[in-house]
Amino acid sequence: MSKNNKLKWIIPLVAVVVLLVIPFISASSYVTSLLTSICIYSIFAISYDLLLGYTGIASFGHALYFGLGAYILAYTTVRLHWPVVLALVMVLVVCVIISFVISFITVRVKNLYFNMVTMALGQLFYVMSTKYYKITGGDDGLPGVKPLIANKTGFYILVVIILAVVFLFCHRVVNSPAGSVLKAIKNNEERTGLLGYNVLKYKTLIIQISGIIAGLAGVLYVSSVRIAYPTMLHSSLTLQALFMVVLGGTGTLYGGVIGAVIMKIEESALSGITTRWMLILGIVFIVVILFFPSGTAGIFKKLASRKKKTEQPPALPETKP
Amino acid sequence: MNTVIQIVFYGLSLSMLFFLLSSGFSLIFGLMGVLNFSHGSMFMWGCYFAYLAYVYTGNFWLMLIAGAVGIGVMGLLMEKFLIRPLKGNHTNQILLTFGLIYVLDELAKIAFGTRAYLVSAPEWLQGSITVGPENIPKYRIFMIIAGIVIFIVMTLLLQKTKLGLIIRAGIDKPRMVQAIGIDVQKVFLVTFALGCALAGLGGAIAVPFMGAYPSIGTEQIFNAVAVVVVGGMGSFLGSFYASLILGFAQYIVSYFFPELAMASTLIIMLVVILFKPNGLFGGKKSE
Repeated sequence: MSKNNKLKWIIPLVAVVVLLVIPFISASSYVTSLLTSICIYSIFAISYDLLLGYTGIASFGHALYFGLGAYILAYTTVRLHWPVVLALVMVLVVCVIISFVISFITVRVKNLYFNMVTMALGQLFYVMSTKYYKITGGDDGLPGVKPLIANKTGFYILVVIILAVVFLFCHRVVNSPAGSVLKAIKNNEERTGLLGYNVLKYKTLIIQISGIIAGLAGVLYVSSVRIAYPTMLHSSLTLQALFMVVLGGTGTLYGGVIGAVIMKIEESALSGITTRWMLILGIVFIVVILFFPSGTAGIFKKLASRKKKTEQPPALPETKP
Repeated sequence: MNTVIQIVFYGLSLSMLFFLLSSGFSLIFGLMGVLNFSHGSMFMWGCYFAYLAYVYTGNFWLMLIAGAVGIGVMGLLMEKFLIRPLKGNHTNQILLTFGLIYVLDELAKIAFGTRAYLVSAPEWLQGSITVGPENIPKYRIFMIIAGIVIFIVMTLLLQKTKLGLIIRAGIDKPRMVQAIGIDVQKVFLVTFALGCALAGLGGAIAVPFMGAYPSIGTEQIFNAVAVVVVGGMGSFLGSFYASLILGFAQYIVSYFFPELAMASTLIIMLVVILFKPNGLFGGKKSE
């Protein structure tokens, strides 16, 4: 078992090392910026997976946190000339407040309300970002954001490190006792509640963690593209998070990373051919939902379990209680 | 006085627009448990179908029929090929309809571009009627009448026909309906198509009023969701009342503070979830 666990850690470790080394091997700034955006989207996808994959609740306004993180950093540093640290604290506070309000209203009732409230809030903030010209700059956005680290390679390394930390943190969360409760909530919320767990508390907690991480992704993104614009709040971004997680495999964390890689490469390949690459994304998404609901990771898992089955001795006959 | 008359007519016409938009959404959700997030995009395609019919025939009534029938057929196909294969897995169904929004929106952008197409109302609906000191556009009044007529027709359909009986029974006790030997699949198919046709009709009626452009769908789904939450999930009557509440609220707020119109809808929605999670007018109980 311990050997298996060690193996499990080798792959992510190798991945991180490879990611860190790439910019020093290839000098192409295109590769670096593509990898930067893949890593940032991975962080966003991981935050989404915490909700959908581990707790079984789908947010349809997850872009809300991403966009808020982006806009708050842009507004406070560009317009108000705040120091970056203060801006980051502000992002944290706002993400906590928003996610608390959402969870306060929706965790008591069916998950359906969470779906609808997140959808409605996301739409509201998107429309507000296009209308409140004085604060958000409307469709022109808020340009002139200073990156956290001016050097592109340096910024990329920062993003990779943050991705690794986020991944590690989420891995700890979902494998902690609290993580087991979350999975239990996903399987059967009522029964988990009857077992004496405070379902509301756990759901609130995970909604907040997820919101904060998504806000962090937004901060990193705005600091890499240097402008905050309304599309960062649009529900199409939520669809992209959903797509990455579903395509990669829900409830795996690394599935989000796989999904981010596939999606970003698809985007950069297709956006040269057609501006309507969202159409292809949408069609692929629907096909995956219809035919491969467990995603890429599900295929890996199936292969792995098949391998295991052949190695293991035949299981004992089940004893009925 | 001016203000009051304006608020009554404009608020009422906005309410009827919300009703046309959300009644099908609510009906589908109530019977099948499918939260069809692409309903707004169906509405948007209804606008385009109506626009096409207007361009080729120029007949106002054919335009309305094209919107309803076109989207009804679209709903039929969607239920058969996208919703049914998921075998009642509601999470996947919601995810799928959410993805479908972008497929439908992007297809519209490919077919029609991002510009708005305007359709003028037939001559007998142009101009305005003087009510007291205020001039009310005739088309607004037509929208109000159309909303009320569709409400009455749908109520009769649900209350007086066998299909309506089955739909109402299916909303209350789905298993019982299946147990007494009714082909639920067929009822689902018909209801889904009917709900979509209502969205298409709504789009067709709205097109001379707001034009046809691709982002209508994502703008309007917000209102449909709010109506369903406020009116109670799956309650047809509830969605009518909730449309009135939200339509008037949105119009009154936008009259005085234009930028807060959407926020007012959201606040009403959140307050209802907090205090009456089953909606103000009953509807399906939370499972």
